[in-house]
Amino acid sequence: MAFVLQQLINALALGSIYALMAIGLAIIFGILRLINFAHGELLMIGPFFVLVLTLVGVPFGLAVPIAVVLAGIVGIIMERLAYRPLRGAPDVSLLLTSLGVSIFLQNITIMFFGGQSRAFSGPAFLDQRLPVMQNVGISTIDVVIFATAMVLVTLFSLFVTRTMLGISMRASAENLLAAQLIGINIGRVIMVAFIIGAGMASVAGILYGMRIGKIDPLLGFIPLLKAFVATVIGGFGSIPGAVLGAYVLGFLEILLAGSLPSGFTAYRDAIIFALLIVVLLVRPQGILGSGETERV
Amino acid sequence: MTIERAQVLNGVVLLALLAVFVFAMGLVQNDYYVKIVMLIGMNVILAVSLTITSGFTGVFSLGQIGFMAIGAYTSALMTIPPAAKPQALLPGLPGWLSNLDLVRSLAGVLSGAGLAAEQAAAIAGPLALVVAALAGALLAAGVAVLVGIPLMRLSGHYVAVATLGFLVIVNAIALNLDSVTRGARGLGSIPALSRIWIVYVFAAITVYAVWRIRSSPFGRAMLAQRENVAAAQAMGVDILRTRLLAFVVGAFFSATAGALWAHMVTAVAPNAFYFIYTVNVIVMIVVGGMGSVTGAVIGAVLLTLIPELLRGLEGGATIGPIKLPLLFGLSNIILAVGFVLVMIYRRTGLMGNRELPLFWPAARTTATPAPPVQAPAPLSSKEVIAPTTDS
Repeated sequence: MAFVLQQLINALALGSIYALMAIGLAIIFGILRLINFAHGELLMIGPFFVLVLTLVGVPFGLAVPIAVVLAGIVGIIMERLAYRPLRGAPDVSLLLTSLGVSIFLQNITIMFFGGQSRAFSGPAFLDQRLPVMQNVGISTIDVVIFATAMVLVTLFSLFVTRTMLGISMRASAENLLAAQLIGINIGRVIMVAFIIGAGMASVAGILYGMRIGKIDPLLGFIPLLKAFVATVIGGFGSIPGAVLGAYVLGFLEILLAGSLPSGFTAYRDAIIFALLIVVLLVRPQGILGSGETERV
Repeated sequence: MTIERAQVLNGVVLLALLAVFVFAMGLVQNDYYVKIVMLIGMNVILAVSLTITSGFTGVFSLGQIGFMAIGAYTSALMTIPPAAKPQALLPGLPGWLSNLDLVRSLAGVLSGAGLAAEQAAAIAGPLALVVAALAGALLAAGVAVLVGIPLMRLSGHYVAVATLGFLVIVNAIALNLDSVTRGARGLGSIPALSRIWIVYVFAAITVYAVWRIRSSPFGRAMLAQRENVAAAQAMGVDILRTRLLAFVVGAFFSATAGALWAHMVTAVAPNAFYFIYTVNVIVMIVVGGMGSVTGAVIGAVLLTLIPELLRGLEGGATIGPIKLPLLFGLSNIILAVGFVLVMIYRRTGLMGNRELPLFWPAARTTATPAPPVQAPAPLSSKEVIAPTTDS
């Protein structure tokens, strides 16, 4: 029972980090048809900003919001300098450009901080374990991760359903040209999408860094891959699908880790990607995606 | 001069130039430069194979380096002397493979065939590399068939993500199948069999094969379905088979590059064949021009040389009175910025779909004026398939 509870919390925490990444990927894909490979770097720079800010003496509680804002600014700059000039270019050109942006951000970080990983931790209380039952404790950080994700996902869903800007964003994702024709300022919508995507990714990165206790310039790669899988499982471009896919993936990963024979647990990433390929073949529109698919 | 004769002459001239180049490079003593020259050749192979897999077909593969890894590991396991791969170390290897001493047994066969012992020993090394590389390439091609049959049905973004999945799977196997790959430690004691001339023979064969495929019906089918799937299908192009052929050929040649790489570096580890190398090769063909063989060659040469030159800056070079600090990552930053600028200002790369007139002077310069047409001539196969456009 205790074991099951602990695994459940693990799965929820993992799924939450993937969800925060996947939302950004999904809105950017929905609007621009861009698979943003640089999204992993938005996750990575969050904790690095926090690291720098705390080093110069900013308290952790203040450093986090500043870091998120800074990551949002990086998101805006990324879109302005690299993606906006390519508006209307073939999808593959955008994807390739994002690879370039990704390499750029990784190496800027390497230049300032070196390639090795650095210890990263939040306030001490996060490392404690919350007593739930007799001799069962769940780590505080996992609860914080899940709670943060729930709050952000709720806020985001209110934003896209209740505000004009959010509705414009969904309209742009549905059909960019039509959105433009009815007078939506798509430049602004895209900018906001990048701010939100970058902000959520940096929050995910800070939480992820605290959970594993260290950060390095290549921190974003694995979560990026997982968020890809989550968006594909959920249906490319679908926001609820991305969140659902992220939690499905979190549970699947923990389930595989717990149920595979000991020699095979290391293969769970391989199994997950094999599953991804199966999903792409059987149901390329994902769980919640719309019907649009291209295949031969 | 007929086109055929011009092409033969052309081929002879190019081969002669290549021979002169290889001979000249053979005089280079500095080990570092020798390795750079070999690396250029390997990157040419990789870039040209990605050109056929992705450039000609428009099916964007991120999994190519997975095939390179298959070639590297397979060939390495064949040539590592038995003392360095005992069953105790690699229990997953079949007995015959852990006892296989390819170089020595080939030398034995050669001297048995009447060659002098030294001669046999001299030939056995390169021959072993060729045999091992072909074995790795065949295995990679087989895997490519299995993987390609489902994956080549996908298009656009989906195929990019799915092939990335393939790369992750190959990496996970290399990392975790300790009993064959020694996991993250990788395999060592690989004999240093790669030579400049071997690398360039492989590179020349790759370029020639891909060039021939491009101008064959298969190649035209690839280009046609890239431009318009429905139109190509209407002309009777089997899309799946066409893409699969490109995928398998690309996998085959990538694996030979992997084998050459393994026998140059003399060690293989999973992370050598992962995302970074994938991006490097993609940058090569994008800079060179996605649909161009000569473009891929130029891209591979440039993108191998420039990072090596820029690497000097990272060590804290002094320019006049200014002493630059240590800047790790600077070369990659410059390359990434350059790459994004290419994407923004010259998306077609240096060559686009065009080729340097290197291989095709006959078609360009000695094109005979079309005879006056009296009756509507039957369409030649060239005209039937939609011409490609620089896009």
